[in-house]
Amino acid sequence: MATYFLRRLLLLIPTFFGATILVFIILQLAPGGPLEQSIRQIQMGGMTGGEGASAGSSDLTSGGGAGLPEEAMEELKRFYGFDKPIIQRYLIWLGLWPREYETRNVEFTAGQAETKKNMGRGRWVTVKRTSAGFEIVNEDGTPNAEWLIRPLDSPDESIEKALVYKTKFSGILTGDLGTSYTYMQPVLNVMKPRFKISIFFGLSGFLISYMVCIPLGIAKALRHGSPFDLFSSVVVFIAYSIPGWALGAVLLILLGGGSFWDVFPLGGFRSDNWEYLSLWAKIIDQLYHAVLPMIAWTIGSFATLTVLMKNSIIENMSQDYIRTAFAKGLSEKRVIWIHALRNSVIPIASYIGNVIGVLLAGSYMIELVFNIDGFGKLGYQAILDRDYPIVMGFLVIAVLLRLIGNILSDFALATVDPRIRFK
Amino acid sequence: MSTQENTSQSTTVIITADPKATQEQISLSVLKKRWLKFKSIKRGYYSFIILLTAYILSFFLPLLISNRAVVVKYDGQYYFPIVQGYIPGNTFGEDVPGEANYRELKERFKSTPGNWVIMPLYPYGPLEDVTVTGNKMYEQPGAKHWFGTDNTGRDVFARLLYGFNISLSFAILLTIASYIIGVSIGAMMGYFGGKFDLISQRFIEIWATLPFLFVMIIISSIVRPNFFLLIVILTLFGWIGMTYYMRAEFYREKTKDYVAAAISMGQSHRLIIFNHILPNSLVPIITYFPFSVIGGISSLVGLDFLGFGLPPPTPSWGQMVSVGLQSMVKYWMVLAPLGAMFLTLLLIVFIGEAIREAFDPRVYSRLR
Amino acid sequence: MRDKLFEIKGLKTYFQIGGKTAKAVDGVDFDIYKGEILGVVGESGSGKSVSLLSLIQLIPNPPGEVTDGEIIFKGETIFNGQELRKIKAIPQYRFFNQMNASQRTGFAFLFMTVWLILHLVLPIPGVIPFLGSMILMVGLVYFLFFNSPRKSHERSFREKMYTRMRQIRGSEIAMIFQEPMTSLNPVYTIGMQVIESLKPKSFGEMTKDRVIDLAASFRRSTWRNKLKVSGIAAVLFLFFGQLGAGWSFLVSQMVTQFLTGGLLPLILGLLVVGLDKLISNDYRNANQALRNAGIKLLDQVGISSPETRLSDYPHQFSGGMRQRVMIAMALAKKPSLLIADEPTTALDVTIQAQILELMKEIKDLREDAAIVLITHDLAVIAETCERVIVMYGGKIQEVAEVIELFENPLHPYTQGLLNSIPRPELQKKERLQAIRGMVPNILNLPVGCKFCTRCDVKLDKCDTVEPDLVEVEPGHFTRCHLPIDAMAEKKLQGGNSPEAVQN
Ligand SMILES: Nc1ncnc2c1ncn2[C@@H]1O[C@H](COP(=O)(O)OP(=O)(O)OP(=O)(O)O)[C@@H](O)[C@H]1O
Ligand code: SF4
Ligand SMILES: [Mg+2]
Repeated sequence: MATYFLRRLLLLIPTFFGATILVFIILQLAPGGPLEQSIRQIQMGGMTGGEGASAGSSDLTSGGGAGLPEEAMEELKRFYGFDKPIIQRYLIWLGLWPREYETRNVEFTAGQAETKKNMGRGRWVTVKRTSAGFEIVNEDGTPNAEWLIRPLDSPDESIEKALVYKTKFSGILTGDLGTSYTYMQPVLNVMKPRFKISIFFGLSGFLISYMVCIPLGIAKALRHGSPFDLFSSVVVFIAYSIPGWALGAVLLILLGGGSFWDVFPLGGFRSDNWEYLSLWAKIIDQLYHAVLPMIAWTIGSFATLTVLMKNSIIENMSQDYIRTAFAKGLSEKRVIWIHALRNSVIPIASYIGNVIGVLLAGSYMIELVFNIDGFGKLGYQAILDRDYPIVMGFLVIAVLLRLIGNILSDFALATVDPRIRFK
Repeated sequence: MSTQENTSQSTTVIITADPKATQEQISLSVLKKRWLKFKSIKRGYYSFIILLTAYILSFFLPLLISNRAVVVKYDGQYYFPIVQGYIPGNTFGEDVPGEANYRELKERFKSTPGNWVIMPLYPYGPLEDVTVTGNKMYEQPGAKHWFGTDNTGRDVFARLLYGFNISLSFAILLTIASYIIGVSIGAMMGYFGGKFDLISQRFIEIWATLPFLFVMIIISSIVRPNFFLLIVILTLFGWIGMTYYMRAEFYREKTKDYVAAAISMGQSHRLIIFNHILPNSLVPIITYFPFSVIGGISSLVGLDFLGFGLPPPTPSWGQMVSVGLQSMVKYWMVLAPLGAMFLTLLLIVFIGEAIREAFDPRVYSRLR
Repeated sequence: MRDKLFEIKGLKTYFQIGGKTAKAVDGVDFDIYKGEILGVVGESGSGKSVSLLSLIQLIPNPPGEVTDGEIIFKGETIFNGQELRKIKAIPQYRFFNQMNASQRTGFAFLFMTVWLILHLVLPIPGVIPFLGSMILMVGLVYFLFFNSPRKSHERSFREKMYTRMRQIRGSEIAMIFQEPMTSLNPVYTIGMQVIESLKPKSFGEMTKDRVIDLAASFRRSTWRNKLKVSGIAAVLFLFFGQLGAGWSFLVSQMVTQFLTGGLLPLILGLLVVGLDKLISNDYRNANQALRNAGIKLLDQVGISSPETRLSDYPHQFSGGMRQRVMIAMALAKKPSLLIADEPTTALDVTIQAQILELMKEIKDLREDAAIVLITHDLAVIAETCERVIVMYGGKIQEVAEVIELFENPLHPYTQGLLNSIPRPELQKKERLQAIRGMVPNILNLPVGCKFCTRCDVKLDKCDTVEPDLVEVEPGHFTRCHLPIDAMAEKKLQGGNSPEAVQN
């Protein structure tokens, strides 16, 4: 049992590295990345539309930002980390290679031997150029150990450039997911509020669907072939034929007040004035906003779960041990709820872990339709904006959730099935 | 025991297959029996007939629903625009740039005896937009445009029906492509087992974590994806589901006597896989096929909705929805395509359910 | 003659298989007397299991149903087929009885669609009236299409019958099944299942038991073990806590996380112990008494160290052990009838003998308890039974005392069965005269005598006319068109005595 879990954990390590490396490489090599995007933005700003708008992305990648000063290009590249080889970038992202930060440029004109630089907070250092390289000296003349320096390529022979910087190990392994390009905030900070929203929908959707589907599945199994079963089967088929987001869209059109009834709000997680409502009104407002998305949410797993439960119960009700239980003179209720149900939740138990992943990432379409700022929508938007730190953070969290989901599944399985426990 | 398998099984398909079903040796007579059973399940069988008819008919849509006339008689000469294609307007003495406007032509010819136009059943095409005189943007559903027009004045009903053909063809091709890859890789994993299996599993796990949408977006920023390219890309991600079933199936079948016999007779692996085990593992392929088609249609509509699907102006359901959702009052732009998708998927669900039932040897039994 | 325990008259059990009717048991009459051991033999598929399962109404319905006959237990009619037939005469639906199931649903859907379309045509103001109309629609659909007067009658009939049957099952009739490997619930302990047949525990009681168990195991575990668990929990908490906090590595935070994780198992343990304290002593004593009874039962059927085995799961038991557990469960309430459906078929030979021995011992414990032993094995019959029923094609072909049957088998089928037993003292060529041909398909049994497809001495009318079960000698019934003399002549030359068969 313990070794089994351990094996599970160990097997996740290659997956983690494999997935992150693969995505990292694709991200870095893909055209139209953040670098090109910001170059385009700068160009568009400079040229006020005009031909800049027609510039295709292909021309950007090859040309490397025509019209942009070389220096600004270098600056941008450094900002996005594109000045280093890809392996190094990945190691930096992991936190196994020092990350440069608080960078500053220094320039030496021909013959200039030293220059003063403001390092912030009113401190100045002197950067000296010697034959061996560069040297940083404090104001009082002692060598400075805090800052590092490295030479930069310079297009102009007469001017020598260098970069003064600090380093630290800061990456995924030290818990730093980086800083978002679009929000200019640490990725975790960007994610946190959205996480809450997704968890709200995910958890309550999960609970609702389990609370509806399991009893429904049981009832359908026990009345197999009855009108109730036929009717609910049709409902289940209908539910299976509409993707959640599509149902959401239809509900919005019908009940969102556009062309038909005006019952529910058009979207969003809460009203804008939510902060100022009384507690009761807050709850009502929250529920009011949640109804439609929740229906869309639940419909996704509704059909699958119900049918799974029904088939599982039917399967188990024809097993021999059920006959034994009846032969003991047990009541039907007891046989179903104590003997059949426990065996029937085994497939459901292994499904639980799966739900966790879907809980967060699988719902971006619904979040888009209802305009809810959830986790999925964040990921989607990040992909559109080429906000790589968020994309990579999203991936890391997805892999972690998968791990947790797997463990949860195994745990749930082991709880209901002793045969697994004793393996 | 592997949760991985269990979970993926339950997500992909609404119904888990019964392993007993697969133990049965599939031979022609068995398939025939299953077909008879399928036929006896009326809901599924009729759905199949309806869907098949609709799909076949949809290939002849240009004859039924088009802005090009079927026959034009002008100055004693016959023209067949549907077959001939583009005919400039001035051929018929029309004062329009580009192609003839046959609906206007028809109106005009009413007063000129001898000249006439026969239009298709529904005289609007999926691609003609506001540049054609008479078309308006966002026209409400009515007798003229049954489901209204879209943001560029194209007829929604016509686009809907053309979209049906495209979506279904897309999903079927996608499913076949994914199954070919998924089945062969899954089969090899199950058959060879050992290290190959372990490494492939890792690879699949890694591959499955790739943000698919992201790859889509990147590719669509390099090349404009067309129908076939989109199938290729989706296949890259769609083959995974089938490997789980095939792997389990082959694992089980491999241990059976007939495989040992084949090996002892010195048959090659390829022969054993394709001639012996595969026919016996057909059941999951057949029973999951309709549900995979459903998945294919849903993902196409989803991608079109996000704007990363088929290139415009391809008639597509998702693209219509995304236009319609921008303002809540263009209800027909949302309800019509989603209704069409829903009906199509419902028919396929009925078919899939009937197929599953036909292949399911279980009898419902209940003690009291 | 001893008192009758059970009387079965004209019992019919049919299965619906793919639109066809399988007459698994088609008119079976027999009695079970107090204290006897009754054997039932017949080839596979002859309806042995089904007729005995019908006796306690353990027929899966659907696909099967006990359609006719009478079951009388100690003078009380438990199942009366006549009543059922009367109910079946009531029309099934209130309206449109000529439609089949799918047409019915189809029309119901049509009705609903029309109703919904009417909504689009005639605007309904507001959502509340719309919902009201929906409810009205559902109600109407139900009343028009699915309201069934017969169903309620049928339900109450079955409810009554099953309720009474459940009182009898377990306490008066117990059953052991053919498949010990699958007859125990894999997710519950042996203890739970054995004790359940003594007294089914409610969910609350099961929870209490769980608490008692957990508390006991908590008290029992060594400090080393407790520390180990705490340590693991602490590390896990630390890991996930830090993960959640974004790897802050603040010492104070880490210490809190570590301590929370470490203390949590301990707190949970103490909580359980506290809950354990809340459980009343009465309950504990009753529980202990039940446990002891369970242990005694397991001991009785020859399971060693029953105290520890109570908390094992079925998959930890071998087939023979599981069959013993089944027997223990069957004996729990000292029933007056034990039905053993091929209790030894799935087991190997030495264990078969042990199980049979066990059953005989148990029989000795209670004088007036009857046993019905279903088997293919005539040797087992000869060894253990007093009376024998021979079944073929869902009908009883011959009934007789065991010695009478072996010495004077009248029905050609019985003779065939007896001839097919390997007996060393006969010459080689006479050995193993198996009955020729195959058992006919249950879905198309012959109209006349069920055995006519394989009978060597068949008469012309056998194909079309079904013979009756007649009493040829006191207590010896047979179902064959042959005159008695002719039947008796066909006996084996070697002579059949039960002793000869046993060897
Ligand atoms: N649950 C069921 N569903 C359908 N048919 C059944 C079912 N149970 C029994 N039957 C049918 O009833 C017939 C009699 O079965 P039964 O189990 O009584 O045979 P048996 O004499 O006990 O044979 P065996 O020695 O193999 O146990 C069989 O032919 C079988 O097809
Ligand atoms: S009735 Fe006829 S067929 Fe049947 S056993 Fe007797 S002789 Fe044979
Ligand atoms: Mg049997």
